[in-house]
Amino acid sequence: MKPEDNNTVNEQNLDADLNSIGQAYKRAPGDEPPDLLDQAVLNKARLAAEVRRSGWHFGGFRWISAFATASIVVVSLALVMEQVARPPMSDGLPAQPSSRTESYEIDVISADDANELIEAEEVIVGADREAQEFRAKQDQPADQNIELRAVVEAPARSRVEGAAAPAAAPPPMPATLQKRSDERQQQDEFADQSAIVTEQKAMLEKSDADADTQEGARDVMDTAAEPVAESDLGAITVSGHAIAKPPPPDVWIKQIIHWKHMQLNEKFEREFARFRKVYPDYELPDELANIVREDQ
Amino acid sequence: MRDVSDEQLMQLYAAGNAAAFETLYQRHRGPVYRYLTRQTVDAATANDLYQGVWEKIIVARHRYRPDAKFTTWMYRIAHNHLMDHFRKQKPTVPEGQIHNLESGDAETGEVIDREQQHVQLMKAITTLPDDQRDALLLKLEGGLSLEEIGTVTGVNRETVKSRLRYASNKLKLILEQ
Repeated sequence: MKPEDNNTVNEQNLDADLNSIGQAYKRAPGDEPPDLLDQAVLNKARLAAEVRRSGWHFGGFRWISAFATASIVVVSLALVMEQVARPPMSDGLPAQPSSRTESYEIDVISADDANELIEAEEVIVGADREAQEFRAKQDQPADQNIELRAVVEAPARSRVEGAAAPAAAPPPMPATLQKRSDERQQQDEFADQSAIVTEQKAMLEKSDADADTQEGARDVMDTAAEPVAESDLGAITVSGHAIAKPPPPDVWIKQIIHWKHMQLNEKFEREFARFRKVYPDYELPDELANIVREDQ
Repeated sequence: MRDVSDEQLMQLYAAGNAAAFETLYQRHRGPVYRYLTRQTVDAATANDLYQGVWEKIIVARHRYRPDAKFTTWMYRIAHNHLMDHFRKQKPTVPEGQIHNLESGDAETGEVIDREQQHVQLMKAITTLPDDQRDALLLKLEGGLSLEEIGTVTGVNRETVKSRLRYASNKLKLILEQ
């Protein structure tokens, strides 16, 4: 008998023995795992399956976030390398966009400042100057009055014109410096105006004195009477703004008497009535009292 | 799911189908449990080993390849788990147990009926050496062939045959008494 055949016989005998043992083994009641153990195993299996399903999503998100991060890094590096590799455009020359922006800002600020300055000038200087102007106009001829008004209003106009063309201002200046220089300029101009007004006033007082003493001066006063009456004694107007400030009574009376002498009876009556409204208890001088008495 | 093979069920479970695992579990829960209980001293240890085996199967589901027979793969996990347990805590059936079993039979001389025969068989299996008992249980519970038992235990076919022969001879003596 060959060894292979011997092996085959041995295996057959082994199988037969194992079958008989197996039959005896399986006749016995088989042990089973407890239910709790089954539940524990099945729960663990279900949990693992769910974690795997959600794990796909987490894995996907992780992949996406990693890819996004890598992309950002690559793009950033590329930009940096491009900036480093690019030669300088124009060394020593000011950058065009920044200078453009600077001039634009200066323009805007200077225009605003000009408007503010004009308004401030009209408000602050207006009352003081117009009071002086009023007094000057009251006593001076019409030509001089017009001159004075022109002088007083000239700086404002010139500043408005200067502000209207800020682009023509040659050196671009920082906004604060521009403002300060404008203020200084304004103060200088005001000082000049004060000097001019003072000088005009002195001249007017002198001419007024001459008019009192000389009869020929009445002609001059007559020409000046019409504008003075409307602007000074009623509603004083300065640059279109009404100032409700009545003149001193002696000045007003003097003017009223003057109108009477000029045979301007309507104006005389109207202004006298207004005078009485403003100064009801003021004691009239003899000259005016006589005129009123004669009219009545 | 009833007609689906073990290999397909395992693949389905690896893809996230928990129902496939339940079917697979119902098919193999008893044999795996008995394979472990027959080789341990107490039921608590057997329960721990049983749960541990299935946990390892669950964890290793992605590593399963369908070219291998599922039972071979599963019993290899169970065998390795059991061997790890033996290494940590050598379980040993007391030597006197075989002696008591044999002497008891001789003393009584009673006719052993089937139930008694089964009890004696179980006792005899527990007294077998570890490698013989392991090979025999893989044959009886898992229904593995000699080659598959060799794959599970990591020995060649002839070694498996030899172990089975020794085991069957001892058990035959008991059964013939």
